[in-house]
Amino acid sequence: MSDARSPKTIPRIAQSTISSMKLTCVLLIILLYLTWRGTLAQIDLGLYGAQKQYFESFFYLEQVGPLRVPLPGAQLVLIVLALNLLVGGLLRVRWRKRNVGVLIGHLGIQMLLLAGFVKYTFSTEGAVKAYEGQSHAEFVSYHDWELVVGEPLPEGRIKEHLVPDEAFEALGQGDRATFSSPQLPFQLELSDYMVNAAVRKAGGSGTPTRPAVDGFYLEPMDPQIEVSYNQPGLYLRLEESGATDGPGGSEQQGWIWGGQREPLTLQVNGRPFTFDLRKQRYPLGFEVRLDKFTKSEHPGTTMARDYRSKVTTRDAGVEQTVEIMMNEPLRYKEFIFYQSGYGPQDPASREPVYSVLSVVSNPSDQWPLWSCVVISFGLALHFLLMLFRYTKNQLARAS
Amino acid sequence: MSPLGGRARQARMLLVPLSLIASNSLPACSDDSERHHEITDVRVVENRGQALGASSAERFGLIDRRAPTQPQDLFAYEVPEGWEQLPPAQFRDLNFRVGRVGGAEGADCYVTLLSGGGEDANINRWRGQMGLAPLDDAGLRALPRRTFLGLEGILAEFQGSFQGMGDTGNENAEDSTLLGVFSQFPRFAVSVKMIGPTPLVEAERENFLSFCDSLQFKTVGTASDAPGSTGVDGGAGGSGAGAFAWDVPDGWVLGAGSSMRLVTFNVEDRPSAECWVTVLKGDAGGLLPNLNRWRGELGQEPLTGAEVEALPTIEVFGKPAPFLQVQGPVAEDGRVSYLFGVITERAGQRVFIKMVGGKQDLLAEEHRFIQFCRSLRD
Repeated sequence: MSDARSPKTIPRIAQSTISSMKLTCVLLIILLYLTWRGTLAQIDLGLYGAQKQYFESFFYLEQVGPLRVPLPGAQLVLIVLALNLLVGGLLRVRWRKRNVGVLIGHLGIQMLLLAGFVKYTFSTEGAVKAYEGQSHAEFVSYHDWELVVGEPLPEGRIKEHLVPDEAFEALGQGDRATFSSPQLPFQLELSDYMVNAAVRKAGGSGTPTRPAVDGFYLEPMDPQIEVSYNQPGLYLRLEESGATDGPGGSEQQGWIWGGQREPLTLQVNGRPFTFDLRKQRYPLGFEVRLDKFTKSEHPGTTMARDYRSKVTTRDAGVEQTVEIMMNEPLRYKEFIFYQSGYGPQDPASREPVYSVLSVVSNPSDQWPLWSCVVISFGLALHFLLMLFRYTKNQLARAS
Repeated sequence: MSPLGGRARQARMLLVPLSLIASNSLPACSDDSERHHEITDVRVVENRGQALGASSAERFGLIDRRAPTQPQDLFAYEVPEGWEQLPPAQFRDLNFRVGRVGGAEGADCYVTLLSGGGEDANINRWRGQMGLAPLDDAGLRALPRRTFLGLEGILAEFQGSFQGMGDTGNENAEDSTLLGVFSQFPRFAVSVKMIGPTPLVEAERENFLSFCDSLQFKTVGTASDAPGSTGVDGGAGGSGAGAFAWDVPDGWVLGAGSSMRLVTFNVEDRPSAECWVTVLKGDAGGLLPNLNRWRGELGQEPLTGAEVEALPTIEVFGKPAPFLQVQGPVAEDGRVSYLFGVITERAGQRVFIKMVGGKQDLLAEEHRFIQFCRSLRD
């Protein structure tokens, strides 16, 4: 608690402000507003776009009539709220026996906020699409892309040199970035990244807006609301290491596209190298095999009532079979596998049945649970102490 | 240089505001240093079925099935002096006759693109052709290696009695030599074999090795600003009961599709227009319900069977198919949705060709849509 008799210095004013209960209320109201606004914004921006704009931002611009007003995003609000709770709930509160429940409760809330921060910072999310009998040792990101330089090796293996999209997603038309590796006999120059692109054939009805390579070029399209539908594009130029510049064949170039069916192949010193733009893939460190997918439907409809996947994990030769269904994920090592979908949706489709398992790697997966336990314990302790004090006072008065 | 990893992406994103502040307050780095990265994230994986050497047309899904890429078109090479190139034959994608002069026995030399089998099985198959016992693992590992098509391939040289097939008169010939190189790629393998009388093969050994060294996959991606240099204007798809082909109308480009669609096209300069083909097994619900489902999508009442029979038709796969045109209601912004639809049968499948977009865009593309439907063929 602040001491009313102490002089009002700047640090004290700052401490008083940051720990203020009024600030807590304002922050919670802003969070409520952001939740409401972000939910509505999904109509126009989609889930991913709304999440980025309202919840994973420090500020965003809100259209108010003709004006665009900067407002705090959830990321900033949550950081300030964490500080507010830390200073006001743990440091300013007197550490007395009577407050121990409140202190524990605040500690639990801090744990909850920390769990959110750790998840945001360190978690990876994606999915595995598996047909029956098929094994996977990696999962695929929902939204993030990567450039893969493939180097064929003997015995059906490929050495993949990976460049995540954060390294080139800011490259607009005319922007360039170079990439090299001591293991590669060339330097790559990337440019003209497009979030969503379409393939154009040179000589078509439109005027080419980009250089054509092998008769094709890519042209930017409006990004899709459903981000996973975007097919990005990128222009790459390859320069062999140690080769002299000029028209001597030391340079090669090509367009690579998220929707391409096969990678671009370029020869360097007589060796083939492949170039692909694909969703990021994360290794699991073990194999997951879909043994059986089962689905039951509501009577007389094709609407799924229940669907589940029997999977076997194979890790260092040890196999374990489990069933994954709605609300009953598989937790193995740092990964959680949720039953999230299946296909084909059309029963007349020629495609065989497959199961889609969402995969999340979240170091703070269980922290919210423990936070709730701590908060509940703190509140219960506080109420019990209050009851004990009240009862004691009543007994004292009675006697 | 900035090293690139895979998983600390979001952690770095949090540092973006700080780095922006720092970059404004510190002396500016040169553009070169800011924009050069070192690739550090490397992993070795099993091949996932990717093909090497695909042309741009193949990569972007615009393959002309009428003029499929032949295996021999994949290679660039130099023919040694004295070798005669023959037409490709079964299992001989590049085929040469070596050293047969004036009716004397010659040798066969040929390049084969193999779909599988692996190194060990193919090398032992070669030994079997020479009447030799298979090698065990140690024997196979002891074979000499040679760089071939960019990989560390096997160089095999076996002497024996050739028991294979050919047209050089060497069949069942004793004192034959098989000289071969073999490189296993992720989804296929390439071999070059020379088989013939031992003295001739030994005499041609240097030519054989120089031919192997000269053999390369043709490079794609060479810069060309010449419009229309590809000449590719068709496509192909389908499976199960057989693939079928089509011609892509001018101005149509391959678009992002979905797993349900066989192929999707966008139209240049008409962003609202999209056309796609879907193939479903069997009756797929029938003609009338599907046409009425499309009408329902634009808020129109269902047609009767008689009304469907009265629709104009387009010949698709050699049969007339009803051509549905549906106009939707006027939207608040004044736009009017429009739909073209054709449903036909083919080999126990229903083929759906659908095009949607704004009315003006679609009416301008009507003749191309009809042209596309008519171009579908087995």
